[in-house]
Amino acid sequence: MEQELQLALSGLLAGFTYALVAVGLTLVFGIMRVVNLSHGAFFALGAFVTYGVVQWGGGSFLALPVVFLLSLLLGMGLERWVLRPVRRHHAVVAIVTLAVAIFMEQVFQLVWGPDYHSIPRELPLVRFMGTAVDLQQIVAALVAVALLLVLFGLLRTKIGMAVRLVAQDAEGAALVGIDVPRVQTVVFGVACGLAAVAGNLTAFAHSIYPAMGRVPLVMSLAVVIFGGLGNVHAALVAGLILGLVASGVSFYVSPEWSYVTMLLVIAVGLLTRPSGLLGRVGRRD
Amino acid sequence: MRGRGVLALVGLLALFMLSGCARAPGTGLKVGVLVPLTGPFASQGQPMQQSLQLAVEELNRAGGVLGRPVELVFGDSKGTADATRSEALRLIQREKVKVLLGAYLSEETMAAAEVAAENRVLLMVPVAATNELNERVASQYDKYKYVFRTSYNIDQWAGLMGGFIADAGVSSYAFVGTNIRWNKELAQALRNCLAGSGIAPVYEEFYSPKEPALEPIVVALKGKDPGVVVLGDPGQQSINLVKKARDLGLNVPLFSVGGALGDERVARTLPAGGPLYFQAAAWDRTSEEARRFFSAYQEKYGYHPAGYADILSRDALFVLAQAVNKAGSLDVPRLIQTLEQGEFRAACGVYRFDRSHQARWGKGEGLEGMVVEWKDGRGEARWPRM
Repeated sequence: MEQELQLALSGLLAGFTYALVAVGLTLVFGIMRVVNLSHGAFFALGAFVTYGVVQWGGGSFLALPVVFLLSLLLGMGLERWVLRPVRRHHAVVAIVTLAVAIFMEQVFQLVWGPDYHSIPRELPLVRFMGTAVDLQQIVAALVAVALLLVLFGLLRTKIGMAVRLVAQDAEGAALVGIDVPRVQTVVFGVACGLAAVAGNLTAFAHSIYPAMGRVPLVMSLAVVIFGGLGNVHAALVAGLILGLVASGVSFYVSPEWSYVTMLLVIAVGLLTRPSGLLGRVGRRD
Repeated sequence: MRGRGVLALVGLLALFMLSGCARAPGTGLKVGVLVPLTGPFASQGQPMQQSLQLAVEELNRAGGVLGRPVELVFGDSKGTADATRSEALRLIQREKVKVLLGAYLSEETMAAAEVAAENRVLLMVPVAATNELNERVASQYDKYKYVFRTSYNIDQWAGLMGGFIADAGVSSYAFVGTNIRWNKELAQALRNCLAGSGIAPVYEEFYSPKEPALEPIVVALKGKDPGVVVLGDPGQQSINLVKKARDLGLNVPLFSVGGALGDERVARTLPAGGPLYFQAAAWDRTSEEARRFFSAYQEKYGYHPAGYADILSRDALFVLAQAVNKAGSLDVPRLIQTLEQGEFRAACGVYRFDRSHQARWGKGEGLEGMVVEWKDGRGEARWPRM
């Protein structure tokens, strides 16, 4: 029973991280219809800035606002001056964001070197019902949930309505006076900020190195596709499901099969629910 | 006016050619070095490059090779066989190097071995562990006689690790690695090695290097209660696994193959728990030469090297330099004969090559490696006991 509880807890906490990274990605797709392949690099940026702050004697939680603001501004700048000029062609945007990711990796390598870095945990572990509960991971999950709640709340405000309008019909939104390019710039910046926050929150648990953003990018792409492109709520559910599947398969079958099974679950999910996990399958009457 | 311009140009060209001619006799041994300087394995390429730069400074301060300076030309193998092949060809054909040294991964090294064999250029292998290299030299000697390995191969690595495990007095062990070929080969070799001592694995699993779910592995390990857990992954996931293990209360001894867990900067950030060991080719107390190397490296680069890819690369260059001095020339057949028959003292010990051109690592062979334990962020040599 203790083992199962530990596995479920680990799976859920991992799932929140997947979800936090994926929500930003799906938000950008929903608003701009582009796949941002530099999303993982912003995750890495969050981890590296956190590492830098810890090296300077600060705490990883202290780095959180720095990480968010820096990535928000960088993301907004990237959207405004790099992506907007090429946005007419989706494929070009994807390639440009990939180039940005490679560029950022090289910058990380130049600044911090190619080595693996690591930071110590700041909060202790506590025992609860025979399982080790990681307070730092709990705080990370709570921050992730709080951020997602703020995001979902904002989407219901007047500003959020403008964002949703742009997501549904950018031309229509422009006709009713919404500054579509500005909404897109801000949303892109927020999405980059969320990815970087995920990098900050999990930095203590992982090794930090220039290419560390690649796996979260693939995982969040998988979560986004599984949940349904552009569906923010589904990204959260899909992240949690995949976290639990990976944890369960690794323990009951073999660690070798956990990654493959996750991809298999996504494939089966797409075959049976082509519009995504929470999407409605359109009927041809 | 135009005539003067032409004259000036010709003058400049002549000066340039003369300076080139003047430099040429100055270089004695030009070595082409293949290391991953970019890509996912750059973290291991950097210490190789840094220690080789230190080594060449030391060699040249002592008079170089055959009285002339040694020059290194680096090629970026990028962690792929294709990049290694093209860089090896560039180094041989355009840079006119006399010897190749590298690479890091087995896949890269096999590609470099092919190029070396085709071009009849000597290749010193300082890190890659695949047994296939020895099999090729032994079975197709005439083709692959140009390849010499100074580092330990997989069987020898398992022997070094197995010796420590057997001496630790444990009755069981677990092996957790990544699902790549050499990790599986190492697990098999370790199983064979420890079978004679009656020590069997109670858990043997390999995770995907992409996105492993590590907590379930730790939970399973706790259930099996092994005497020691061997960590086969030299990469970044091994750091994550140690963190998870300690966080979830798995406090049995952890024994890493080295690599990422041999880095003192990482070791200082790991949670407290049971003992954490790693396999090194050498450590400060292995020899006076090793102590000098570690001290110089720390002084120049600001951290203690891991005692694997760094010191092994350095030793490969020193073995080569000694062989050239002994042979008295850069003639390849004479160099091969010298390497096959000679003994070469370097930081890790005394190098002698067997008929498959593999340096003899193992108990009583002059190259025994070292098991190091991290204590409060500092590495302390634990085995073999001296």
